[in-house]
Amino acid sequence: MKSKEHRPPIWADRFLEWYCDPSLLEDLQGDLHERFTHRIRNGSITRAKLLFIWDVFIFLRPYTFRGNRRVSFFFMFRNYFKSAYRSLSKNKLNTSLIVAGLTISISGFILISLYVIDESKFDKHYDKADRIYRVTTKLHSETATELTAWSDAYLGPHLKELYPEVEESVGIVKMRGKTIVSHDGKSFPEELLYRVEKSYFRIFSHLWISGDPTTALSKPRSIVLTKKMANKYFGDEKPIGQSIDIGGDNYLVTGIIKNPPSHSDLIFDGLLSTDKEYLAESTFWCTTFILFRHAADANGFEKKLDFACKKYLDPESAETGTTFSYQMELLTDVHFGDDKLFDTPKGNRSSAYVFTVIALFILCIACVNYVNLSFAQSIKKNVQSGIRKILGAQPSQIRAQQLTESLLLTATSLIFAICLSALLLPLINRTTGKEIEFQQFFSLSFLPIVLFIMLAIGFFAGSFPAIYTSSLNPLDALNGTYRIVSKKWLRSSLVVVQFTACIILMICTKIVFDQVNLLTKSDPGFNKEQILVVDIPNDPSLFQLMPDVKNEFSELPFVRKSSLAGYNSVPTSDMDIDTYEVDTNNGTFKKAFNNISVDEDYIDLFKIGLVEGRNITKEDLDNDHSTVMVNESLVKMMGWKHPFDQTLGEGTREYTIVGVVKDFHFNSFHRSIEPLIIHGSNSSPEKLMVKVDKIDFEKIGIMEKIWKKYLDDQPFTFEFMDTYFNNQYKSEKAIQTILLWFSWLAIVIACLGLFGLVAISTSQRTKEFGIRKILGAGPISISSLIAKQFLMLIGLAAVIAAPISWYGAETWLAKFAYKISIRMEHFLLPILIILAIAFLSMCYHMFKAVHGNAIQSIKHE
Amino acid sequence: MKGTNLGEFEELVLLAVGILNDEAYSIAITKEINRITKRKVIFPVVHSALNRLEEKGFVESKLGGATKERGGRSKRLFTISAGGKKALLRVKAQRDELWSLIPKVVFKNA
Repeated sequence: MKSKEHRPPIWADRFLEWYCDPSLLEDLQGDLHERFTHRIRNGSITRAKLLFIWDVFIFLRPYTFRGNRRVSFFFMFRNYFKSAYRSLSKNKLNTSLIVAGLTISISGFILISLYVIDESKFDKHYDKADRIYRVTTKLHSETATELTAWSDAYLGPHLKELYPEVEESVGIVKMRGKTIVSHDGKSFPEELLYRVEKSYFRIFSHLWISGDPTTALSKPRSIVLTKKMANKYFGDEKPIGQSIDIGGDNYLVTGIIKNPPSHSDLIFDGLLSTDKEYLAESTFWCTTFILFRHAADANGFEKKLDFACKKYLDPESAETGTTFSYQMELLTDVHFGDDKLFDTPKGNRSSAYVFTVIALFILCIACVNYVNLSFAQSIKKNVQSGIRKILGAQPSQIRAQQLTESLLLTATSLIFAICLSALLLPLINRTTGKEIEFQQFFSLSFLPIVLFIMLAIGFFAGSFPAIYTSSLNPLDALNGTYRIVSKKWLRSSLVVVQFTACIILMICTKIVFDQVNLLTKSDPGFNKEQILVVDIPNDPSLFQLMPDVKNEFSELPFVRKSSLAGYNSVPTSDMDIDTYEVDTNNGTFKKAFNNISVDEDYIDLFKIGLVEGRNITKEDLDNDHSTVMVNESLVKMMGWKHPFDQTLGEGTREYTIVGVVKDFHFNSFHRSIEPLIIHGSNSSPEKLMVKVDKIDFEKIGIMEKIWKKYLDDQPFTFEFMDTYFNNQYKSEKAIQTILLWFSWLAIVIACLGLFGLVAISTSQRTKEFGIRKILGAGPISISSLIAKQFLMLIGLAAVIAAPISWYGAETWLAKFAYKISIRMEHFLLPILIILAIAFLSMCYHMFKAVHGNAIQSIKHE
Repeated sequence: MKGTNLGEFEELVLLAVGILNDEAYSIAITKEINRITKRKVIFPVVHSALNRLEEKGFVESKLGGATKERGGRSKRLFTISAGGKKALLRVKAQRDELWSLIPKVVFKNA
């Protein structure tokens, strides 16, 4: 035992040395060590250590404290704590109203902060995140300006060659649609596969479980899997060195990395190596990331991008009628950047702002509640502080005592709130589609939130009553001449603040609801009900089978119609853009247009209206795919009188226009309808759409059987058109849900406060009501006495809230191409609801005041 | 102005200091009181009582007698001062006088 002599905890020893008066230290420390040694002899070490710590704290007394004459403040805490505890437990109703309000609001605040923290963490986990930039392309054409997340696949290598400050570049491209992955009899369609150049791991750092980042992707047909994916296909086997079938080709597993955190835009399950050195040899476009040698190299690099663009893209752009320019953005800014075509899912900065504002509102409402309720009971406290003052307490001590009380309250509520938000976390995750874990509560980034809450509520809200009571003249306080009434303006304005926040939230909720309704319920110009969208495997050898599958589906009794759609041609997808030669009144131009490829049933399936001309027919498809339809917007833009006389040229091909369809909202209502070319083509279908009467499992079973007959090893996976459609409005829906919940929260908290206030104001006026009743006042005049002042304050709040919420809602609505107009009802309805709820929360006390025995009331006080 | 009165507990502590003579330091005193009075007196209380007694001038202390189990730190060894002795005697005299004044009859009935 000699080598490992047990010592008491060093920090406790240090603490003792810190606080203990030097004249006592030598002996006391010795004593405690001696006790420690004795305890080790008779019992467990942990126990001895704990008891040592206990001893150190027990000896934290005035007489042992360094310079002990000046530290009464420090030791008064015990007393403050006691008196705070007593006064809080004396006013159980008030205390529980305050704690309930604070708990609810703090947990709201915590949840929203977790969300916002998670949003702001996006892609910051990469070691070199501050030097990684993404290069994107801006297309200018006469018809539109489009931002796309892609760039020329040669750009990366070019930049690296031209500029020494570019240390590394990587091109990555997501695998189109769903790819069937199989191993050892297990087969699933996978969406999150990327083809990346071998430089990928020199730029992006990941946590490796096995494999070597420097060589993992250097050979063709290699794949690096995430842990999740590896478990799915290999179970307990060792995946490294095994082969896995990706869309018909065998790949060698060369690495396993930990699942990337959910706060990343680049979510993938597997990274595939390229077949050649550069992606550019097999694809024209890809997403390009570059890594600078130093973070400062990025300054002014845009000019060099322009140069590169001129050098490599200009010859091409002259040909296509569009001009290109490159833009770059820091990796960590990508999440909140502008939405681009073919981009990864975006964060919504405005959602984050909206949520933060809501969180602060809620916190503010609860603070106000607290201030209000503690003011209201300060009469009793004034007597206490009066006595303290007479006994010699300094104002600073009175303040310290009050702050102790508010910190105690805040801490209690905080503990409750953490429990509550832990319970609510799954709900928030579901609404926002995030994966925030419970462990977050114990992480370092959570600490500032807790500190903020403690400071904001404990000190900010607590200091109002503290300053007030500490400034009182003790004699007045004892006489009771200082009534709470003297601070009525303050109390009133606090109520106004509180209800202003409530009403703003309510009005915004109403407006957001109406807007989301407009987005989801108004007619997009096509029928999206009861349509199954079946994924077609991305395998050209299977494409020729698809018309047969489609025909067999069409013959089923419960199927009304089915149709094949080509690349990104199902409504809600990002449409392809190509350049066409068109004739206008001023001659022939090259123009870039959105286009989709569909078969003869597409228009009927979606019930898209035909303005003139005819639909694409089966014959068109069988011939040479040279017929197209266009939408009204295109005709209008080109100013064509006779659209059927026009042809569209693309490269060497020429298309004849056979029909004009009514404008429909291919994309969400965020955007207005753009010109569109509808190709008749079924040569490379991506989705098979089936319109059915009332879907059920049996019918799906029947369809799956047919599917297996043709494509026996390909899984039958589908999604409802509705789901695609609603996914476009995910962020609006999230705002809607959160606003709804939090405006209710705000109302509940505010009404808790109102309830408490009314309780106090009626109890102060008990005598008055008694006299009034004896003199003949009826129930209505009594209750109106109580209700009038509060309802007037809420009315004032409504007047303040209306313009603020109008401004906020207008700002939010500005980003929609189609939006509701804000009308009177958006304001009136929420205000009426709040008035009604506020009135209800006062009812109990009005009832008590009206029905109390008048004689008893007069004897009151 | 601090009182120079000797409290009941302080009296115990002071007596224990006397009993232990050369070895009177806080832990030993606590043990001694516990042993004789069968009370559960805790160490911090004795420590602060000793401190009070020294302030009142009833005990004197000096450092000494370091041991290994104390991490080589000295003990504060207490001895009864002249004032302490006087106070103890005064208390004892008061007690004796009070005892002598109780009529014998009282104990017969108890």
